[in-house]
Amino acid sequence: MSLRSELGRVRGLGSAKSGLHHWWHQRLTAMALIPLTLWFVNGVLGHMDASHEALITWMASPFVSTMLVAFLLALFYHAKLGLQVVIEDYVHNEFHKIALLTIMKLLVAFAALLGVIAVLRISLAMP
Amino acid sequence: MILYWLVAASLGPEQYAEAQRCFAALPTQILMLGWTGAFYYHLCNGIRHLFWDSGRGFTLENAYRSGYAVLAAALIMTALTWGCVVTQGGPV
Repeated sequence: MSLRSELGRVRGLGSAKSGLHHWWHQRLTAMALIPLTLWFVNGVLGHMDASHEALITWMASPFVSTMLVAFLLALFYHAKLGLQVVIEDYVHNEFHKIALLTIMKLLVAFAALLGVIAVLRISLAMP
Repeated sequence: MILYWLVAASLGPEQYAEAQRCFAALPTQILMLGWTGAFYYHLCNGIRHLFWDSGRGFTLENAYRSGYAVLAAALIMTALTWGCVVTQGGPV
């Protein structure tokens, strides 16, 4: 048994690795989502009364399609990170925790894919 | 809701018209008003947290002040957004 203090032993080793990765990605997606969400809300407001054709034409432009896909990826990744923290912090039964985390991650991944596929369908259908 | 909007738009004019009717219904409008408020609150409070991450604004006085500022900003942004919805002849 070492007589070194706990602090002495962990000092210089860095963090618990994946925790910092999670923390940093949450902030990265948060920063990306500030302009992306405001752009999206503005885009929705601008197309509330637009015809289907006008909406599709807008969505299919390369810039708008890219922004929509970027928005969806950042949004659902940010949501996954946030929900993960909630489950890890508040579900204390280990089996329930793992099960919920698994279901949540699969659902979020499915939702992100669904959104991206919808945008790509519109984008790629346009000449 | 965003997914429904995107998928309906990708399916065609009829499906999109149906989605439009669903969005214009009063219960959906109430839900979206609530979500708009929650979204702007989350956005503003998130910016508050990013600012805290930079190591600033930690005195009790500043923490209270930014808390009220976040609440006010979220309310104003929600009001502005729904002002746009109403003045554009949107539902409600």
